[in-house]
Amino acid sequence: MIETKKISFGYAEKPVIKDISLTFEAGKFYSILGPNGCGKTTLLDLMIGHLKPISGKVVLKIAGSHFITNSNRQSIFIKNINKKDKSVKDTNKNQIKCSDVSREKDILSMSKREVAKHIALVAQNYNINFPFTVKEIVMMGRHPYISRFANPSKEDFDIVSSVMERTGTDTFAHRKITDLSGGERQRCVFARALSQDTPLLFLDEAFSNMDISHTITLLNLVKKEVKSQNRTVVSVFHDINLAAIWSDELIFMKDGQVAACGKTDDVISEEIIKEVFHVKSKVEHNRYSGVKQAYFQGYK
Amino acid sequence: MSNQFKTTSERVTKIAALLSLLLAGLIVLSACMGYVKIGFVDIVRIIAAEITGNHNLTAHINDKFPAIQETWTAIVMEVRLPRILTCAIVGAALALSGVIFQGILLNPLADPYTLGVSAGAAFGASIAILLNLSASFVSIPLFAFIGAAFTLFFVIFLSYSGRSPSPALSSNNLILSGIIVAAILSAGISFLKYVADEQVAVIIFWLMGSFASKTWTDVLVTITFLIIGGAITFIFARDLNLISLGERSASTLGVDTKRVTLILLITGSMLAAVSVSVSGIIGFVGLLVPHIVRFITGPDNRLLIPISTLAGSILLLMADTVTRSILPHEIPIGILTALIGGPVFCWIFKRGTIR
Repeated sequence: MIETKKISFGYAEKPVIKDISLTFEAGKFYSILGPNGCGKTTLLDLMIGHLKPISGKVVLKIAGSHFITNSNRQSIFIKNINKKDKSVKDTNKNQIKCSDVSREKDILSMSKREVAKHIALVAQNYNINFPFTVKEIVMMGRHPYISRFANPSKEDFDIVSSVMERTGTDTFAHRKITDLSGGERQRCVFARALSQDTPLLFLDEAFSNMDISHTITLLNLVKKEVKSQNRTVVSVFHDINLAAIWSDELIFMKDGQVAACGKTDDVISEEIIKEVFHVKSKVEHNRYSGVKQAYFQGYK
Repeated sequence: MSNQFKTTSERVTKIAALLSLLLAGLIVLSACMGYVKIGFVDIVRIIAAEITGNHNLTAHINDKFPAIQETWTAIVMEVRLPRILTCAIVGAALALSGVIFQGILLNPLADPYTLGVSAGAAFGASIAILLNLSASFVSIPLFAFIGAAFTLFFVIFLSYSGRSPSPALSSNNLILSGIIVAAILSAGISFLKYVADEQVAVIIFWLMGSFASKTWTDVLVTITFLIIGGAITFIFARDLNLISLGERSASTLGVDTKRVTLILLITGSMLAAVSVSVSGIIGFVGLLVPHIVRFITGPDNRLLIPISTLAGSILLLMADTVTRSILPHEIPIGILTALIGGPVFCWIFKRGTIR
């Protein structure tokens, strides 16, 4: 679980983030929506400790031994891979038991390596200039767990190959990242973030270059982990309807502030879309999606 | 991948062993060549005698291996070997520095001089020459080194500029700061040349780079820097892999990017600075060697670092041997590397395999 406490960022004459307090709980999928330049990416950067807020702080709540002993996590993770859904209930029980013991930590007081064991980010910019192979890139997700002079362990290799299989990146494992298309690269970077095996996953427009089939596959993949392993996903989206289908809660941002937040079906409305994006829309429950969707009018 | 990684590292060990052998052979071969031709075996005997202290090795053994003249020993030990070793070490240092800069600046086109270190060194050296400090033999390299170090710290200071949209020490900030500082310094060098009068030739020759009349002191100084620099780089090799993907990615994968970048930046610049101060400005080694080596090892710095270091030392030693003993007149090594390196780089570039 991660919490922002009244964080602000920017300069006096041009604030980027104004006094945002939000709580992101375990086991939920959050989406942040808002127009270009409203501070979505900055908010993620502040939450991951990449930027330092000018006021307020970001607190990471580390729930008991579940997140602390990494080998324990990995074994749970691998068990889940092997047994698929059978062990899900056990894991949940385990987590509830452990979450009694929780510690609060200021994100800026943690080392980068420590943060990397808790939060993974799929960034917008996935440009890579050097011809690493896809498998090498995904293995880099294990960096925080491998000590300086050690080689990756068998566990690291197991996690990497399981992640690659589930993200479909195993089909081009030995190709060079510089030779891939934008969408394929994005899937690699996604796989790398998953191999970090963190309780929190931040997605910064992670699907912008992916085709719909891979987008749905990956969204289902992370949604499943959110539910089965009590993870938290915070995703910056541009597509309101995709966000609505997969998110438990939505956060609408405007000019560095939260315009509205709450349960997806409660928040999404014609009024808020008008307020935030300045466009007319019709919001209706869609039986096929099972959630409310927004419809727009074209040129007539 | 376990197997794949293993075979890669095995292959690299093999290549490294092969290159080390090649380097050792080249050092001996290069010591044979010059105005006085000395046989391969004799060189080995002289070196072995000096290392073991057993001077019977240079004495008359049999008719096939007669005694070696004292002057030959002096030529090899006092003139040729210091030059050859300094050259090999500088080649290694420049290549290593190139690997570091290409990684940090996320740019396969960066080289040790991108941050203006060479301009700083040249400026320092020009001042020393202008003030006629060259009477005491350490002063030019010392001034060059001080100039390079000052430049580096000024570039780092600039790249921390408060309002810039990209974060401090980001590759964009560093490259821009480097270009600005180098431009100012080149104007400064031109000014020094203008006021230098008769000394202008000395400055120009120094800038072209040369390994002539290097001493064992040069060998000692450069190898110390190379060993320290090499060790630091190797310690941070995996972090450098991640940094080469971009600062934000590296940071979210657990690399303390600011600290590691700063350490590697100083290491790379010091390697370049010490190279420039002993031998002048030698271009293209730091740019080209990491490129060529990446064809063989791939971009993984753990493999790229050792192989580039060896390859850099072999290439520069070959170039120096050519200019010292094959060409009818010795031409400055900096010119030779640019004349050979430039077209090679064009060829690689045209093939579209810039990595």
